[in-house]
Amino acid sequence: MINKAFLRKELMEYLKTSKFIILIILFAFFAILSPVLAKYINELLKLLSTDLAIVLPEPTYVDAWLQFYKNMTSLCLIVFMIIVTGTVAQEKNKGSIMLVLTKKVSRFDFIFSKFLAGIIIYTIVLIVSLLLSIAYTYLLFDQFAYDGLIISLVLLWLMGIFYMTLALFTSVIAKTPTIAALLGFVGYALFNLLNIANSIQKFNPAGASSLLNQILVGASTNTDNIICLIATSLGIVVVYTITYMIFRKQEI
Amino acid sequence: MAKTAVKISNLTKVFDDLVAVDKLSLSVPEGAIYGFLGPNGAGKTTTLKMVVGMTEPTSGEIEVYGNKLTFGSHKFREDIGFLPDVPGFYDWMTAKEYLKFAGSLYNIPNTVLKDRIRDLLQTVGLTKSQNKKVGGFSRGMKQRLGIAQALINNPKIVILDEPVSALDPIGRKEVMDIIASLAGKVTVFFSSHILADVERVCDHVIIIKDGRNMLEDSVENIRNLSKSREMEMEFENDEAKSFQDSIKNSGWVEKLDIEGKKAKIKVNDLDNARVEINKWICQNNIMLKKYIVAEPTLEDIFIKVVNGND
Repeated sequence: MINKAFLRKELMEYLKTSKFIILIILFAFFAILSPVLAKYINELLKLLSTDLAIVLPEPTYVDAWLQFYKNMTSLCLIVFMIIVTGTVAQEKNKGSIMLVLTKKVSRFDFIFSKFLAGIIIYTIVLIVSLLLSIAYTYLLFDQFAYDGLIISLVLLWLMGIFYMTLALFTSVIAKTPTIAALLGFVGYALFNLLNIANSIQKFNPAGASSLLNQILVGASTNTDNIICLIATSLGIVVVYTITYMIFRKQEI
Repeated sequence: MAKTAVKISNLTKVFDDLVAVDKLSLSVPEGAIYGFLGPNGAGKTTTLKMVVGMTEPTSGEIEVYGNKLTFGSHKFREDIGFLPDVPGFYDWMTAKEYLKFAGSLYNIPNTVLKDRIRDLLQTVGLTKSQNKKVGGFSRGMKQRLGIAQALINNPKIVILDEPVSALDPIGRKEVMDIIASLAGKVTVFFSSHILADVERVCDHVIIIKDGRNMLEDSVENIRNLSKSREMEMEFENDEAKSFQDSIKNSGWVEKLDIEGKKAKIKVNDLDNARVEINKWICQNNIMLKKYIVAEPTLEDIFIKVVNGND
């Protein structure tokens, strides 16, 4: 049974410090920017290059989603990861972890509350940004739905949780928040590099970032999607288990 | 006979090739204010961290009221309150919010918690600052809040690691007064290297060096252990010089200083010294203004134990 008081504290910390505000503003900004940019990118390019005659295809709602996925899986996700990388490392650095772990909070309670709070916060900011993006896409293109939208969103959500778990892992193994953030960024880059090889993309827990675009243009099969979904879920379970095993034995 | 609150047997902690704690054994009697002394790097913090389950012992046993503690288990946490040397709080919380959070970690009902927080804030003198953010607290205020959070669960044992080492003299006195006020209510096990404070509040002490137990007993017994004492005499007339001549060759004299009518003597055998000095006073009809046998301070004993001589 999880220690509810500690989970409450974790959620309150996101709200009372600037973390939640930063995330919600960032995610919302890119959620609105994506369809707007997709709609007006041609005009912008024409304005910028008056000497050249540029012929570009008419933008559609697909371009809005492409922009949305690109933004959500890059800058937004990196900022979220950096915030999570500080969560354990900062408590160790400041010494607040010792006051908590010497009370009736088990190491499982501690790390699982951090994990759960990360999922809750990520889910909220993702839902808000998604609703905003859908609203603007519909407003600008009169259409937003496409085949595979649901599986795409599930994959996007799971991939975010995978990276959050990876950030939690770096936060546990690093001695300072700065090292944790650096390790988190290296982890993000490495898993993204794996997407270069098409053959292993679907087996990569972070494979969704490439697969989302393929689903959008109808170039991905259901089997590939399911494999990626399983790989990402497994990735979360494996990274979380390793994180907990290390933390359980860690001397503070 | 008092029960044993904390019992440590042959506790050892090795970091790579450094032996931080070396087969340390000690017993903290229930209700005692137990001082854990040692020079910097003696292994005090490592030992306390093992007692509260933050560090895994290499070998040895720790028992709290007869229950063996195992690393990673959070059993018996209700029995212990802990304050580390540098307590870290959540700066965004107020003092009252922090105590509420600390209490809720033990699932203390809100009605009980409310009264307890009020009492503890009063005990540590933070009632006026209860709604201020902890981030703006001075070190002394943080230390007092640290003591309050260590007492939030009404523990049987309070473990304090260097609670006054980083404080100014006023902050130190405030915190030591709070610790002294706990006497008889809970067992206090605290480490320090400020010996005057330990001497003032503790009834039992242990002195460790290089992770080893050098001396453990009640403060009273430890004082009596030392045979070496200082005596001070002031004569009514000019007899100091003849006093010097009569005792200077005695085997019990370690050091003798004469200044006018005053004499300061360091002796290594107090009983013999007193018999012979009294005899000389009576035989020579000496009038004395002052005759003091000074109690040995814990500092004297600590320095001797740590330096390896008596």
